[in-house]
Amino acid sequence: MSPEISVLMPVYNGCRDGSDSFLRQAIDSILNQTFENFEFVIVNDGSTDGTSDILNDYAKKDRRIEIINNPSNMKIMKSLNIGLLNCTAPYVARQDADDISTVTRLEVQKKFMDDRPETVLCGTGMYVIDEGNHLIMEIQHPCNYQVLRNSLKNGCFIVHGSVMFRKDPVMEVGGYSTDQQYLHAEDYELWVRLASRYVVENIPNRTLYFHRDHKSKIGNVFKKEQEIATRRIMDLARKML
Amino acid sequence: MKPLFSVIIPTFNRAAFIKRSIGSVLDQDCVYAGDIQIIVIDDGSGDQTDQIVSKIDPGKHSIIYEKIAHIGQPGTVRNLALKKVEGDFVCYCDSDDLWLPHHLATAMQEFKKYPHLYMVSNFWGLAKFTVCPDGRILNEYVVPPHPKNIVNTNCRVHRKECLNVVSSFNTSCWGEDQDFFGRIETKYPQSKTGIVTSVNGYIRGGNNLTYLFDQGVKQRYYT
Repeated sequence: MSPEISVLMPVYNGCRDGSDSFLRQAIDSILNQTFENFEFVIVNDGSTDGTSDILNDYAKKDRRIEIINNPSNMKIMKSLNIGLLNCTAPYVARQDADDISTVTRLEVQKKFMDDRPETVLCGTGMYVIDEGNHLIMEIQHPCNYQVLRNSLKNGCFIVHGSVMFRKDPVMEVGGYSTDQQYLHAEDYELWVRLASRYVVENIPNRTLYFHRDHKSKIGNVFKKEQEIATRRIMDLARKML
Repeated sequence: MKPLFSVIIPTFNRAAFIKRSIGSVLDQDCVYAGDIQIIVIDDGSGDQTDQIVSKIDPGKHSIIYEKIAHIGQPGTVRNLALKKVEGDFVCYCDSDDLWLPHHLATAMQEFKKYPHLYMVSNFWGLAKFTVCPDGRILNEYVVPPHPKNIVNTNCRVHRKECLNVVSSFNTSCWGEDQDFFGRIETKYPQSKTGIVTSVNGYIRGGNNLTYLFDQGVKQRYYT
């Protein structure tokens, strides 16, 4: 049976700070889903630590995993686009290599998308957790398309790792931008382009994603660059939406 | 039809919260119709608890409500509930706490992966509720759990067979729940998922037992 969902996860040096537990928890959380008919596309973006070994171990144990090795570190935007080209299912779910999905995530999101043929992308709320998986807070963003569309003018209200989208419309708008000025906020830029043409939503009252706040995550290491890119995209959003 | 899960909810004067707690149990993802049996034992509440619970529509699941004369011992109240368990799995949700929608599914995936397990424990977070006198919730923050914390009652899901050996809660000591689950842990194989699936309502004020305990009020509810 061909997979109904492609789970897309880019990873670069997933064993940072000498610990592979974040990466393992991320992979386990996908392999442990209640919905089982998916393929798991992992783009190894030229990792220089033990990431490759871990990925190969997992791929031997579970045939749903497909690993794509980039010859060098091509950064997240290109990695995501390479991954998208290798996704064969009609739905694509994103997952970040240091975060955790709840076991119900794919099942709940797929049902939500199946029930709403108009919706091209659905995000969920997120729980913020620390290195030890302790709950710090829960964040839920606007759900309704019109409200969300307006909110996108003021910032990114779709959690990148939590989204599931239909592949065809995303390919149609050109996938992730590779423009370097949007680096570290490439997700927000895609949501703006997508929201200008299609219905994007968050699932109401559902938080299906644990986002880890740790010192080497992109949002902390490249905080300033991300803020600048976000401001650029806010200007873009005000023109487009 | 026989339910799969029996959820034990002991309560005393929690009219402002119990609707949220029961709602969070009924709102579980990836369970089938009729899977959940809720057992509410009301320890003689003097507030609107009975009316509120009777108005709750369990939908595709079922709910049992029983009010007893006030005893003031959580262990005794939970023991009454244990006698009514029909499901294959026994779980717990206190009337001022919440389950997150993936609680049962997370535990069941673990049971499915490791069928020899008898108990699965998830993890929890701590919420600070600021409550108005009329029961409205003003602000809600979830803060990191207290460092001293260990897996608590709301996180536990165990097979009914455990009750053959560990049949009841101790009714004469503080921490009767940790004692009960500790005894199960020593008798049966169990695992911990480390995934947060419940939120403890930490009501600042009122008669919350843990709050009183943390405030140094060593008020004994037991004889």
